[in-house]
Amino acid sequence: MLEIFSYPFIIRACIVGLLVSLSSALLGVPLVLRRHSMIGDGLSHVGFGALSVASVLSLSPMYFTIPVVALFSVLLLRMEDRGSFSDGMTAIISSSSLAFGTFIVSFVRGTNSDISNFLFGSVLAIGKSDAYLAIVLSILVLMSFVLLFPRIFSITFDPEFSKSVGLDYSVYMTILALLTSVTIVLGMRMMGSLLISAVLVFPALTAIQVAKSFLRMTITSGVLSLVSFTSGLCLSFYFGTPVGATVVLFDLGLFIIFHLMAKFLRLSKVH
Amino acid sequence: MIHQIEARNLVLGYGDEVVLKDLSFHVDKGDYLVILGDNGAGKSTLLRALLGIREPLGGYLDKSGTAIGYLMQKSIVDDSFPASVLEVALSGCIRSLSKRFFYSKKEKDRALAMLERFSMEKKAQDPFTSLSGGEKQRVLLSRALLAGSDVLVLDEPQNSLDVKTRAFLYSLLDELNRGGLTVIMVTHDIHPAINSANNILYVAKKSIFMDKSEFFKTKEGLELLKEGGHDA
Repeated sequence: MLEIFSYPFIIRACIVGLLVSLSSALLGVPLVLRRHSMIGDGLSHVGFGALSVASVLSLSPMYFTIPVVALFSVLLLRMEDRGSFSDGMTAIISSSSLAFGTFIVSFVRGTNSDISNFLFGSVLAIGKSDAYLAIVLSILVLMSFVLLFPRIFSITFDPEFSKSVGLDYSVYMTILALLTSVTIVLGMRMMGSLLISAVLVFPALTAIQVAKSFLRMTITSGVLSLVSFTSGLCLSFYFGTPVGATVVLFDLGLFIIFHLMAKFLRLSKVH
Repeated sequence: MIHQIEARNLVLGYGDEVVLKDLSFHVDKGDYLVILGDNGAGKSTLLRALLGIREPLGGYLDKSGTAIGYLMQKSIVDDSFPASVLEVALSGCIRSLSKRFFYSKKEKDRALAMLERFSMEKKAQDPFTSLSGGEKQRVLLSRALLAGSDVLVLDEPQNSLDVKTRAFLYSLLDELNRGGLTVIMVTHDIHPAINSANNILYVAKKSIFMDKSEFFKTKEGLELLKEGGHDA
């Protein structure tokens, strides 16, 4: 099985995948805790729409999709924080983007293979220059997250108190949304736009079951994500299954195991 | 004399809507000011102005050079939020981060020392949500005092506290106040106004700022006493 790693495109996919998995697992922590889990879902659908437009107009997928998704991330965040029917609006934006993307691709090309790749991802989707861009951007995302960590804790734990000490909740949430949109676009083409948002929330939701502090939850989330990406990738080669789906199923397995473990620990504490 | 906080003819509100006007009061070191008033009278708006969350629409408000800490009672997050006691306390030091990214050893020591002051240092690594009501109060007080050691501002501290924890918090505040800490509390509970305050700010169409004993002789003061079951 190891001979697979002699192909340069697999190595590239691996590096990009690991970096994106780590970034999304970290960003997922504040998003899940502040009840913004669905933002990832909405953004990945917008990403699908934008990717379709880019492919029809022969624009560079990354350079076109990232700004569009970033724009929508700010919009979705505003809506979720103060809009009425905000979850409904997120659903509308999601499904409209999906419909728009599907429509425009089939209309122009009359083929479904692109759509399938956009939706479910492909390891082959990452070209050389895309990979370099993805590596640079995800390292930037990781650095921003680590450097802002104490501030991210503060606004996640207590927005009101943070305001009283001069931290603006909406500024930092916007930064998080922008970082998230970059991460989603980077991961979308390998993992698929339908599944990338799972990589964002699964590790955080799994980590929360056992973590006793914010730092530990973040570290656990990151480690879990790296483990499930690596395992998912290997399993996908072994079984010949799509990477995104395999990784997400592995995430699901971890979530169930941690959930049961936490339950068992709580029960044994009571008795 | 320079007051810790001084407000003259303050106008507060949101956008075009004026919630409060003609508000004048001052706070000096060691004061215990209780802010009373009906729901919707603008007490929270006033607090937001004191904390610098919202700018006043007009008038004069001087709180420069005064480090204000904020203790908020509303249950902060749900029970599943993973945060250690030390993480919560440290977030009180966030202002001193200024342009740095991480807390220094000095800030960690400050946070631990503050926790020790409230006998919480042994639980520094415990999850915040595993604490009892009284312990949570002590951690939140540590955080507030790390954020601002001159004045402590509290918003409806009695809410969501059981009787025992409430009494515990009030006595803790009295003790801190005796030690020179200025306390400003917005509340519906008449008891801290009667027992602990030295000044009362009654927020209404025509706001009243007075010494406690004077205030409870006014029409509004007598009415509040009656509502609270303390007939004069």
